[in-house]
Amino acid sequence: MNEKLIKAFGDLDDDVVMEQIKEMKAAGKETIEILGDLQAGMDVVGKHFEEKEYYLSELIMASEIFKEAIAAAGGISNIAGAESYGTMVLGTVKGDIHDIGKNIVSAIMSCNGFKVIDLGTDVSIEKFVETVKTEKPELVGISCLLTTNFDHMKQTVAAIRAAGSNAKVIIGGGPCNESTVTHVGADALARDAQDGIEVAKELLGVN
Amino acid sequence: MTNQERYDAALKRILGAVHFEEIDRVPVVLGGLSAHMLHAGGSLAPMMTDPMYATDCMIKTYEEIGLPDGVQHAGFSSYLLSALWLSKVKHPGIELPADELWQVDEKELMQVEDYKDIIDNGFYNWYNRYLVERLDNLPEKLVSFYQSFGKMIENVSAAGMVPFSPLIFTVPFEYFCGGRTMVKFSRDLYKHLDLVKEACAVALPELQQNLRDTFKGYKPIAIWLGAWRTASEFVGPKFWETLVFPYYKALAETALAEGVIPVFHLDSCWDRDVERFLDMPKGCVFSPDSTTDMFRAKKILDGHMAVMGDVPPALLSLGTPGEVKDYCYRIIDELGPKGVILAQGCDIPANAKIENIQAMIEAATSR
Ligand code: B12
Repeated sequence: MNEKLIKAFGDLDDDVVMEQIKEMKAAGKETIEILGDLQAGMDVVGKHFEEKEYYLSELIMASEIFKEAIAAAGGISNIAGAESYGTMVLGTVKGDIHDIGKNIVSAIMSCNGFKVIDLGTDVSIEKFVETVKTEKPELVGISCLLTTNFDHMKQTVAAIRAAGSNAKVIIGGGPCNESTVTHVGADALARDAQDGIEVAKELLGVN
Repeated sequence: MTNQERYDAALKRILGAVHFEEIDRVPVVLGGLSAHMLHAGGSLAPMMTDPMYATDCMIKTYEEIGLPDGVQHAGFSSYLLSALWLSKVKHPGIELPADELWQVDEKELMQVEDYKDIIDNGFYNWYNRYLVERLDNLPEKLVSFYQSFGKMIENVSAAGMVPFSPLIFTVPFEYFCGGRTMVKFSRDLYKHLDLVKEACAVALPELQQNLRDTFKGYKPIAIWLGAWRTASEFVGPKFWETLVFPYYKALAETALAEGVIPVFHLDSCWDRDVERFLDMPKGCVFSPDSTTDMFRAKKILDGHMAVMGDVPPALLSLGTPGEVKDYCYRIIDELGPKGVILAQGCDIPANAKIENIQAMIEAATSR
């Protein structure tokens, strides 16, 4: 464990985070090991958030640093090793550009044993389908903050299924609830990123 | 009763509520025009070319279902949002179907270097260039709206409704957060805090002067001080205390000094900082969007700041008139009769049922 890295991440000091990663890389550390430290750093951020020392802007900052740190550590594709519970293709539904929640989910799930392929915002149905075909993920995550786009979510889920994918679909975002899950034909709802991890593990039948 | 008498009575009632005076009943002052446009005009797109369209639709709708005491805005154009949030907006009938709601298209149009530009050259010097260069010559698109503004006020008043808070102002944080995007701006707070602070400080006196200059042309009864991304929910206390609170306070003081009532239009959750509004000058209005607990806020702010709200937008879209009335009666009976204005939370949404809007008005006028 690199305590300096963990502390710097918890303090959102991205310069020190990047410096530490560089040092670890130079010392021949594996990406997966660096990821473990970043994950511990993210846990510190999460604690500050629960204790109301950090607010949403800090969570946004943390997910940004995380994204850059992972890239510097060797990229997400390098960590899809034994640790990975599975791959999730993640994106914000067509017509919707809200990405704060999705970015947090992306960062926190990558920290917790999932390989996340983040397609960004306003993701077309075709883009979801295409990626599901090539990546064959175990999970698809769709974020939706606008009730007016529930039908786009429904069409996306239908198209993914029609393409023959068995991926489990998890949805999330402010206005989504259990009845949204039924409406759009998804498999489960996640209330926040932590919940997402639990729901995903349950759907995949791992611990 | 003539419309003039109606207007006078409504104005007295609204001002009475703001100042915690004894009044005959809780006033109702409504905001948000998209549902009215869809109801009376069948589309949103005409507002892009006809500046009076939203006003006409609003008046028509209220003449049909009953008049509220006042309205928060006298007209609307979705171009206005660009000027506030420094973002491009996709408009109905232009980039979007005619009856679809406008959408803020948040992209990073402002760079870190822009803070320097503001510090060196002043806020409005920079802002006016920004509107032209990065927002596709926005001022040109707003000319007809501003030219018709007087007519909007006149028509609303002539219909017997008080145009309560027809102008919107906000703090530098909101402008910068919009232009930078929420993600980048959050990061600026950590990486470039000194620049952000200095640019905010440079902008403040200019924004205050802009209020005064604007009031020379037209002095409204109240103004909105818009607060969307500055919510307690988003911003940690150390930034909130330095970059949010003092700025709203300064703008509120400027408005009050000119005899104009500041209405804090507060989106998202402000629960953490409700007590801080006791440090605002007396005579403002606290208007949360239904995410903040207004019932708790009224207790805390009682006697100091009136509350305005907060029928949840979702209730107006999905609820029944009975449910809307029950919610309104709670506001009127539990929080009234002093220091309360009944209103929607945030804005009346585009898909609000007209009978639910009517229910809000009836709830106030029949109690
Ligand atoms: C910030 C914000 C914006 C920002 C977005 C910035 C950005 N880069 O994301 C801006 C200003 C650009 C914006 C624009 C708009 N917005 Co907006 N916005 C919000 C706001 C205030 C906060 C959303 C947010 O970030 N929440 C914080 C995050 C952390 O929460 P979250 O997204 O729910 O995600 C968490 C969980 O839900 C879950 N989760 C989410 N997705 C997923 C997915 C998976 C797989 C998993 C496991 C978990 C998960 O985990 C996340 C982390 O805990 C909300 C109001 C609110 N309080 O919710 C309105 C809100 C969502 N917006 C709204 C609207 C209407 C709009 C606009 C249409 C406004 C307009 N007319 O222009 C445009 C939309 C443009 C578009 N095409 O998308 C409405 C939606 C109404 C409705 N029911 O449909 C809301 C509810 C405001 C309101 N009260 O009216 N908005």
